[in-house]
Amino acid sequence: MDLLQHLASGFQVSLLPINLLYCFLGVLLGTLIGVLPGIGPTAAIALLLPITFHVPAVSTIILLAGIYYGAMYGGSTTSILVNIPGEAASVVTCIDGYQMARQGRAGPALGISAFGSFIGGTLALVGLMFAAPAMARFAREFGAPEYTGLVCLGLSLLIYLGGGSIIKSLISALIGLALSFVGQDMFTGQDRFTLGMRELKDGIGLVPMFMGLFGISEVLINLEKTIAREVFATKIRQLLPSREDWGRAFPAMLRGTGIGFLLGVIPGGSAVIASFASYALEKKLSSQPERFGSGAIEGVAGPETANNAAATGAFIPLFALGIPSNATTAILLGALMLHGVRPGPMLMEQQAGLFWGIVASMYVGNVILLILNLPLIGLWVKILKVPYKTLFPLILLFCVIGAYSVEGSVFDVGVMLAFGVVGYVLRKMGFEGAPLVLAFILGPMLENSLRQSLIISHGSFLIFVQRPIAAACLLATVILFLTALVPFVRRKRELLADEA
Amino acid sequence: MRRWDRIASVVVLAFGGIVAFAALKMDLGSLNQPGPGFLPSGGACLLAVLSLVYVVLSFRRAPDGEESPWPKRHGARLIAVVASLALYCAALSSAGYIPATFVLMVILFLVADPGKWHAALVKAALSTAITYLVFEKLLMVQFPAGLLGA
Amino acid sequence: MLNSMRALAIALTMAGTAVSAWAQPYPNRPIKLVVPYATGGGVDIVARSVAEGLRKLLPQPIVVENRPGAGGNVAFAFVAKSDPDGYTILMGANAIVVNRFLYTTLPYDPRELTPLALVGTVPMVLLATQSFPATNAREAVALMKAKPGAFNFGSGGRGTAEHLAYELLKSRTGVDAVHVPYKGGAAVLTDLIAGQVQLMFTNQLAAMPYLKSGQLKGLGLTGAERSPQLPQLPTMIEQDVPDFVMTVWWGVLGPTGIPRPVMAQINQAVNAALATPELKARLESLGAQPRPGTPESFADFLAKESAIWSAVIQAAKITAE
Repeated sequence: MDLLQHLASGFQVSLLPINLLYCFLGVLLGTLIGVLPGIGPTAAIALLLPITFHVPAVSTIILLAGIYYGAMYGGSTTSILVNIPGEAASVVTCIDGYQMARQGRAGPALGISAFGSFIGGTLALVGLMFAAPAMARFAREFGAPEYTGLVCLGLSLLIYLGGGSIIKSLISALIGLALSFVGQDMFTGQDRFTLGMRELKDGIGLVPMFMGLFGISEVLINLEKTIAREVFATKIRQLLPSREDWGRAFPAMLRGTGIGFLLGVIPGGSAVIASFASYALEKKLSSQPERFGSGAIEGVAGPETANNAAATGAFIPLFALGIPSNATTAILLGALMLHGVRPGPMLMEQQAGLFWGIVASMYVGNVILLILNLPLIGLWVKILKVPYKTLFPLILLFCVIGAYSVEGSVFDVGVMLAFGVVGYVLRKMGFEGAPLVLAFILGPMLENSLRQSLIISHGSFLIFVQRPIAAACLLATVILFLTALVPFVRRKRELLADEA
Repeated sequence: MRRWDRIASVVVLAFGGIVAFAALKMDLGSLNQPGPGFLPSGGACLLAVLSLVYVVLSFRRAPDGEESPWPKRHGARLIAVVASLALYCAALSSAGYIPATFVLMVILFLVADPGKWHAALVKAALSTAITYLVFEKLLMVQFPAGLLGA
Repeated sequence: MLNSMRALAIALTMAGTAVSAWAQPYPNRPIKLVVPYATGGGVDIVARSVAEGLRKLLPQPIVVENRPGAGGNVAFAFVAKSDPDGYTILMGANAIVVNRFLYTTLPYDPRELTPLALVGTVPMVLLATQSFPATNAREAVALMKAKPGAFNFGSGGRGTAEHLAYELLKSRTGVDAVHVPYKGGAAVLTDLIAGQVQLMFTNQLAAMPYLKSGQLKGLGLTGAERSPQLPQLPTMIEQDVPDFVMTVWWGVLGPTGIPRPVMAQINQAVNAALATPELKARLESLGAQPRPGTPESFADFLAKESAIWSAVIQAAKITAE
């Protein structure tokens, strides 16, 4: 078969000792970068770009891609251990991952995210091989009206994310939306909600914001308790997921792969939507949705698989259309072009050796990552044995450096602290952080695509009905809202009846 | 938590009101050329309405005298941590990474374990030095040099 | 006597070493090349390529530092306010010229930046969706004039090169279309391919893959002459769009007040790097032409650009604030 032949030749390329070394270096560095907050794969790849000038194109992309998907493996570590999301796509992992760690189940949580990442990464690669041309056509369908629909659907998912009341979830989502408007308006250049601060012209930084909302506020909450008592006092029972864990997690991983791959193909902040969508889906399908939020392993397995599948899916528009889906793949595109490779519809035919070499190296890289990450779990779990009185100043320092290093800005450290306090107050009031972050991330996408659609259609809302994908997304959104509101209205009616 | 719900609802309502007020003052534009205030005012008005519903709901139910959400103990510790971080932000650019971080870490370790000066100094020096080496030297993050620079 | 002679001799040698340490030739410590945009963008890739080229020619390392924000103004202000010793230099681009017309207040005075060396230029291409009825720029202009407001013109955002090229077209021909800004040039492409947006200017590098695959068609080139990579594509001027030349450019600038010899040294180093086959090939792979020259010729280039953009931007009343 043609495909197998291609793949075999790809493995020949990727198993060359030199490429194997680059692959190993890439994924090792990626894991490290993923664990360290603030410094993301984008910065790491940019740092390495000049070094790769002297290396052939295949090896360059093997190395840089390794950093990219390697970072997806590492991203969940701090989410689980200390409630600091290493990147936007791991925000959702905090919800149940951190709860698992508090119950002494950090090992299984880390283990299941490593396995989930592996399964998501490798299965999505199969999709990349078989369906790249078809998926590329699908990605190309996504214009401004489709994004509007997708974002509305994404936002309605958060109704399921909130642990408690729908109204509180909606309010925190709207607060997130309001915060996303801070900065210059893209269409007119007008300043909005910047309070006259020049640093806010480009908006509130995402990383400082969620490190504050999750990391700092968690430390503040813990500080109220007696420090002498160890927070993770519970004995660490096992390091690897048990049979029962696997039983719960495996279906979640398969669904996560599907969602992640599909959404990853669409350019835009899709790894984030994929992880949130997978979480919402698992919660919806679960026979005990109440376990979510208090350490459900499916709530870790699904999203962690989904974001890796999305990272792999993002290579499809990059290779097949030459359209980067995020900042990291944009640098990969730059690196390809520096080596005289022009991604686009012709790439797979004209540069078959390069394309299949990279695909094969990603299989190899995923295996290396799994082998690399499993022994690390024991090491990470030991961190939790450090007494909290030593741990919390270090967590704070970690957050400070993370917020600073994104853009080298002291202002961002202040932003993080402010959101730490906001997060503390919100949690005291019973509001969830996750809907706020999701709305904050999707806010600009919603606004831009909505305004673009209306400009394109000369003010007609029909554009959302005429385009099938947009219409389907919006219909699904309405259905989601109605199903969520029915029990709410019914309960309220009962409440009123009680009082009468 | 009902009583706390009431306070929260009023705070959220005030926030929504302020945002809505500011957003409505922006240029709303028209349907075929939506302006910068188009979505913010829509979102803010929705926020104001929802928080109003929340206020009504929280005042409908009787307060059930649950625990106060304010920190019972260790309130001072909380304030010390937040204040020292705020001072750190203010001083980082002029003092530079090493001096500012060292002082911050000494304070934080003292908050964690009051009175243990020696341990705090050693831990602070170690954490400052290690993070400086790893991030500034290895990962090329450029920290403010401050007093020690130039 | 002998003692005092010896003391004098020692004093003199010491003074000598002190002087030689002070007057050690530039550069005697690493040079920082500031990039006003995030890592991975076009300007960043050019800066890193140039830094790599300079690394082989200068005895000191070149450190690339990204300081994105406020349309480049953060980095411009940072370099403008730094010591004029040649150790902090800037990889500038079109924003250096246009920001002073786009922003009512700048965090720096444009006179605080001095041109050192032009690196290269790349022309833009007027792209159209396949279903667009015109096959060249001449027809496209006629079509837009016949149906004012009927077509959508995409861009990577307000004040970007894509947007300014459209405004230039408007001011030169009087066409009227609807400007649809996106976040970044790549985001427009899907809507352009799908035909939601019919037209867009983008730089040749970004346009090439789509022209080659036939997903989009090129109507005209904004350079002064045809491009060696796209020899069949006529320029705008050839198609009777008067006085329409626009290029995306990159160049090295520094804070005003750098000593002349240091300025000359940086200029020569950049020119020497541009002459190396590696950097030439790298810029060509970006679709760009190396433009070696003197600081003075770079200053003339900037003056000409200023004249064009002050007129266009003020006529179109574009602001970024």
